[in-house]
Amino acid sequence: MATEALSYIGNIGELSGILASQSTVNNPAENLLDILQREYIRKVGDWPSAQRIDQEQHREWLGRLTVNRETQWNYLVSQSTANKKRIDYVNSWENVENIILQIRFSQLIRYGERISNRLSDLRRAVREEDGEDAEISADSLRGFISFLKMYPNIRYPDIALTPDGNIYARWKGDRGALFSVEFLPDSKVGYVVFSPLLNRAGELSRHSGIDSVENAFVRMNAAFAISEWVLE
Amino acid sequence: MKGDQLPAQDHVARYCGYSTLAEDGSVLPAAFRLRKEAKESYLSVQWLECLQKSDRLSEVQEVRRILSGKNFRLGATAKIAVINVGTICCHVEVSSRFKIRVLHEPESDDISHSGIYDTIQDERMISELITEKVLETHPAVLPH
Repeated sequence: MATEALSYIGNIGELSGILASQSTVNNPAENLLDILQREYIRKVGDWPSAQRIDQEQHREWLGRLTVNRETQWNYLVSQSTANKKRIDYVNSWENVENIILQIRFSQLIRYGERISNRLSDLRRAVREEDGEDAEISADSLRGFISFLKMYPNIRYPDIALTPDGNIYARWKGDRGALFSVEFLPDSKVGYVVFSPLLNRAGELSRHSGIDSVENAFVRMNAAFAISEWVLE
Repeated sequence: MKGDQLPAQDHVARYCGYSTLAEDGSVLPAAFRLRKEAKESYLSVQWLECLQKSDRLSEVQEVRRILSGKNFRLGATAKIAVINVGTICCHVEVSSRFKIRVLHEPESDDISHSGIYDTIQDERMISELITEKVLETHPAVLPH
């Protein structure tokens, strides 16, 4: 299931790095798939039997190609490109539904049921407004779920969707304080912070930028003590 | 005329789909974000004073009529947000130093059509600032 593995590995650059580190390999055909399989298991945790069958098919094709890593690589990339639409489609449909369910039942997410209900409402609305193909971005939703799990004592936010289908979440505090986050693909966030100035009543310090899901809150909290209005 | 700056004292209305509203029905900044897929270069709005109606409710009713004649479906729970031109331009400039413009973009079937330009400079920040200055909201569809 090389193509599926490619989609999980995320990008060609990452896989190229992995391959580059395997310079001592004697059998490139076998090794390329072994590497993919190992990375797939590392990321997904399983290598289902249906994929093993598919893997055999790919192994056979790779065996027929001259044992040349560049040719193999081109083959895998072409397979990946050909299947990208299908994979995106499966990702967006199956994963969005599953991720919303994960949020509902996760013990690590505060207000899981309420957030899950809200996301289901938004999903229905965006299809009503923009057509049946419109969908919440699965990547954005994954970022959101990671963020929620990182801060189990987080307050319930306002949640909406950007025109790109990304999750937008906002926490407001007193005196105009605000922390809003748009969950972007690739585990990034776009954030805005409005923080009251200590010695100037009614004035705010305003900042925006892009950071990783893991670091945005920590960095903004260190600078503006946003936990005062974001956490309970 | 196309490209003219709208007077600062005038008002514009923006259609806000349910997916851009908070649960209490208030407008969130997502309503003031560009559709990159559609390569939007400005936020579409209707210039209310241009409609030459006697009061705000009549203006909003005319906006409903215009929007329903366009090629998109009005959501049953969507809203129409009203903002003042001068207020948003001034608030954005004072708070962020970005200058935005509201220009007339008349269309054959919509003389009031206008655009909020230059939000792309820092969309997230500017959409938050515009949202702070929403004066009022009205249902996009009236219940029968």
